Order: sequence, then structure tokens, then C-alpha cells
Amino acid sequence: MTTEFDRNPEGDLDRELEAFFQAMRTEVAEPTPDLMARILEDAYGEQDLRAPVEAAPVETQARAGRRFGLGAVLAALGGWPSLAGLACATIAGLWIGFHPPVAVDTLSLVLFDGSYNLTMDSSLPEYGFLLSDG
Amino acid sequence: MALVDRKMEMPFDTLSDTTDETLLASYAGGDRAAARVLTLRLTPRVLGLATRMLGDRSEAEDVAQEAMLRLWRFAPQWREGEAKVSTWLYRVASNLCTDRLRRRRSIGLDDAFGEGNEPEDERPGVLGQMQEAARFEALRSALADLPERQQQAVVLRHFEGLSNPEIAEVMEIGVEAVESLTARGKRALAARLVGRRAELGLCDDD
Repeated sequence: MTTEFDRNPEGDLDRELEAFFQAMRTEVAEPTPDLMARILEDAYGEQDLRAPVEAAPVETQARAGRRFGLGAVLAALGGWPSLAGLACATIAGLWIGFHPPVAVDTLSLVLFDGSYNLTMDSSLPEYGFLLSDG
Repeated sequence: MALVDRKMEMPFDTLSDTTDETLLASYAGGDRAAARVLTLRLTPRVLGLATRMLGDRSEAEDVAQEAMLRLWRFAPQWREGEAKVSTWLYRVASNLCTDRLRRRRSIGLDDAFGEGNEPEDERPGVLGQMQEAARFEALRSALADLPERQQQAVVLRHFEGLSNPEIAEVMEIGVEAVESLTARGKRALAARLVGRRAELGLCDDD
């Protein structure tokens, strides 16, 4: 690398320069956690700034309006993540409605049948008694 | 801070093989993990370049943050296959540094250091202990006197160890132009240092 300079009188200085450069290159600048945090904060900030702009691309006024309406409903519900939960619960409800697992039948049977009988038998007054003075 | 550190470690397993360009596209799509990996991967390089060029830690940190901010802002327009992210960043960071060096030069030593507050390498007696630091300082101040393009080429070639074709890409010029710039830059640096070597005691340990 230094051949060109070695032939001239400045060869010594050139070697010195090379030594400088070498030392320079080995000088390590480790970023502090604080700097990393600041840069990451910028990165997130820029992402957040862009997010709403990219969600509504340039379209006709009517479509944009409709999108905004849907967006507003979504926002009120808590965004897409909440919608995923909502959809999941809806589908689960439908499924259970159409195909009730045996457990639901037997459980409700045991609970309602048993308790009804119990209360009717012991604690609730007879209809005849309730109607007797009216 | 602890929270940030913990989050930073997470994507290493999955994203460490992904290229900067792909990560930048994910970042533009809103991916937080890509932001973390890019920050971890690129910040040390930008900071290294800025520190070597400016010799001032806090200024270098400012440049690193500014260069990264420009990257975040440019991310949505990035076209994959056009350039390398690292090349683009070197260009932005080295331009920011030359701007600062130019401003420093125009401010002048009196304004920069104030009365009675002389730079350390000008004080007699300190040179012995601080020769290494003084050498770096001498090199940087000689570098600051170079024409901008020479300065940039010398830094990328000799401080960063980039190859000539890489520098050509960063500076958007031909390889031959790079060779000419680095050669002239190095010669000019040597000439400037000759003028200061007695003053700085640079020949003491030859």
C-alpha cells in the first residue's frame, strides 16, 4: 500500500501516517445504551408518524370517507387486535350454538334440573298458597 | 433502559441473518423488531465513522443519531437492489461530518476555545503524556484543511478501511477518481503534518 510513497523522501512520514491510520482504525467507539435508546425512539417515532398516512391511501373522496368510518369504528373497539378477539368469540359462539358439546347439555341438565327441583321442593311456596288470598 | 435492552435481545435469533435491505423494508412496513436489529447493527458503524472524523464523542453521537434519523425517514422510498444500506449511511454520515468540520474551520480556534482556554495540544508539557491524543488531533486538524472530496475519500479509505470500489459507490464517482482523490489527499495530509511535526514532537519516537 505504501510503495508509491516509499520511493520519495516523504517515506518516513508516510509510514508514520500509516501507523496513525492503523491506530485510528482500532479506536473503538462503542455506542452507549443511551444513544441506542435515542435512535430507537426516533425509529419508532417515524413508524408511528407514517402509520396513519399509509392506512389511508389516496382514493376517491367517497371511498376515503367510508374507510374513515370503518376506521373510526375499529378505533372505538380498540383496533385490529380487539377485532381478532371479537371474531374469535363470535365464531366460537356460533360453533357452540350449532354443535353443542355433550358437556354443555349434561352440565346444564345437572345444574338446572337439580337446583330447580331442590328449590321448588323446599323453599318456594306452592302456587295454591300464593293464590289463596287473592 | 432495562426494558429496551431486554427487547433488543429478542429478535437476534430470528433476524440476524436477514440483510439490511430486507430489514429496512420490514421497518417501513411498521416492524418494530426490524427497527431494533437495524439500530443495533448500524449504529456502531456510523458512530465509528463520525468519531474518527470528528474526534469529539458528543458531536459524533449527534451525527450518528441524525444519520439514522435520515435512514428512518428515507425507509419508505427505499427500493431494494438499488444500493446497500450501509453504503448509503456512510455517504450521509460522512457528508454530515464534512459539514461540521467545515463549520468548525470557519468558526476558528479563538471562537471555538475562547480566551485562556487553549486546546490541549498547544500547551507545552502536556505533549509528552498526551502524544497519542495529540497525534490524532493533529491528523484530524490536517484532515479538516483538505478539500471536502479528498477528505471524504481519505477517511473512507484509511480510517474506515473501505475498498476503492466501495468508496466509489459511497461517493457516487468512478474507481479511478477515488484512487486519484485518496492519493492526493494522503499527500496533502503528509505535507500538512510535516509543517506541524516539530511543533507536535511527532518525530520523537521514530
